[in-house]
Amino acid sequence: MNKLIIIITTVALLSINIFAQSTDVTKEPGYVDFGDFTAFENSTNVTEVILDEDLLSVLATMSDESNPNIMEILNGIKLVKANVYEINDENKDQLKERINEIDSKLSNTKWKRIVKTKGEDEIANVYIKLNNDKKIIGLAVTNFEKGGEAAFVNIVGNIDLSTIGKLGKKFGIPNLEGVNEDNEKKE
Amino acid sequence: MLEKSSNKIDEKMLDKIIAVAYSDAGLYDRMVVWIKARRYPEIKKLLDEYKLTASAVHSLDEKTLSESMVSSVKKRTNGKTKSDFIGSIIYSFASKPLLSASTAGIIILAIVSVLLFSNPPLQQKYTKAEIELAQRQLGESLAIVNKVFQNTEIKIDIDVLAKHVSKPLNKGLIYLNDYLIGG
Amino acid sequence: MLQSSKFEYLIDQHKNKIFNYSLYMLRNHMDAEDITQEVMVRIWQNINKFNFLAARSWIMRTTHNLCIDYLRRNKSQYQRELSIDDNLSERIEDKGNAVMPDEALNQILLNKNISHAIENLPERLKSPFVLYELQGFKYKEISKILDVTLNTVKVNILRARKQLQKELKIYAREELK
Repeated sequence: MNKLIIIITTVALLSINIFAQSTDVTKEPGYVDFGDFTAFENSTNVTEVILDEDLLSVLATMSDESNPNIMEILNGIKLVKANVYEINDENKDQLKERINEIDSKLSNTKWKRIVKTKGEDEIANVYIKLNNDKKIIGLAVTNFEKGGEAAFVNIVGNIDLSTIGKLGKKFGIPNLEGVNEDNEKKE
Repeated sequence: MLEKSSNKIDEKMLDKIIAVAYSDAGLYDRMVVWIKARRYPEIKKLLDEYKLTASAVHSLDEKTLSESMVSSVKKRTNGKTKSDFIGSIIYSFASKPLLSASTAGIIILAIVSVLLFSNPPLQQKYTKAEIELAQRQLGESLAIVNKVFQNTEIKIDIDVLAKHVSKPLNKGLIYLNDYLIGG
Repeated sequence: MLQSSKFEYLIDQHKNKIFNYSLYMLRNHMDAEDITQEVMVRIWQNINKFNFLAARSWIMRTTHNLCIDYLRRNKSQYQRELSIDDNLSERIEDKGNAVMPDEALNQILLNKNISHAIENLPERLKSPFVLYELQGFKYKEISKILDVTLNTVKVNILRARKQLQKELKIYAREELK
């Protein structure tokens, strides 16, 4: 009987270990809950993105000649989520209000706003969350462009801003090198 | 109508008091209740009582669901078909632990053995179409972030990154990062 | 599968809300776990069907409906339903005339009676009250979850607050005896 109990206990402990799942990303300090978007579900164009650690790991393993070092770049990012809504007359005030609510919420916590633009036609806010070692562990972006879209993006994990730039370049976003030359000409 | 020495508080006033106590009254109602509470002790007493209750309600802790239960459900649905036999066993075991100790032990052993030797590689969890979609979505999400930095005239307070600079910038993230961190 | 990612994300987001709501409705830990598990399974079964953006409302609506079904099936255990007192305000006044030291009320409110009192609210008052006061849902969301009008939500939350206050005074009086 004692032997049986020992065997069962060992196997049970082993199985608990096996069944243990990855940590709850919503508890990460870099995670932002943007709230419920039910009110915007009827917008014409809606995009919702949720890429968790598992899926990002899969993307990271897909490296070829044109995409070197993806693993290094995606390493440490635990979640990428985005909600994007086409702005119309019905939802524009609510979307602006949501952006302001998020701004209040994050400004009153340990998030730091590093970008703020506010105009009649455009709002853009970027927030970062730092850990005790001054490393960025969360990035949040809220953006409103009248006549275009409203976007809410949250990236959770170990973030290097240059990584975000490189990743954007990697996945077919317009080459940023040209920007520097244009700006130098303007200046 | 409220009399100075009366205990009568009408229904409307009571509703206002409760709304103020639970912090979802409008500004006008808050002012009315505040003024009346200063004048009439009965109103103040009622307001204080409701505030105490509201405070206690809002302080109640949310109980956390046990991780083992969540894990069993996730495992059951993770890449397996809904009619999966092993999944059914896990679900039954997790939800109604009425089996005898020895039977439970044998089942645990069987489940662990199967899962240890049959867990598919992470990549096989996703189809090619799903991976392509994920890549595209990742790109779109990052494009939004990049666009904010690219298109807007930015005034950056670098204090948060332990450097004290404030300068208009209109650059992409790579250059921002190079400027800020020198990396 | 991509559905797995979405499923896990949804579960992590909502599991405690589902569990806590079930706990208040059913007043029993094991039953609440059963319901929570059932909700999770239903989320999985419908992961491709429902609008992801309306997930929160759908999930809580499912939780609420399962709790109601469970209560109806096990009616004898949950017989105690307090009736709504339409003359509540007058009765509160009357009770206010009795000796009710603030200290006693304070003491009551600081202990577990508040949870118990909420659990004892009639179901149609308890549901909107828990969703609003404890889980942070807005009136419009609650209206969708419970499939009632916005006005009904507001009225029932108000009534719940009054009923709760009445319950707590009864506890306080009994404690003083």
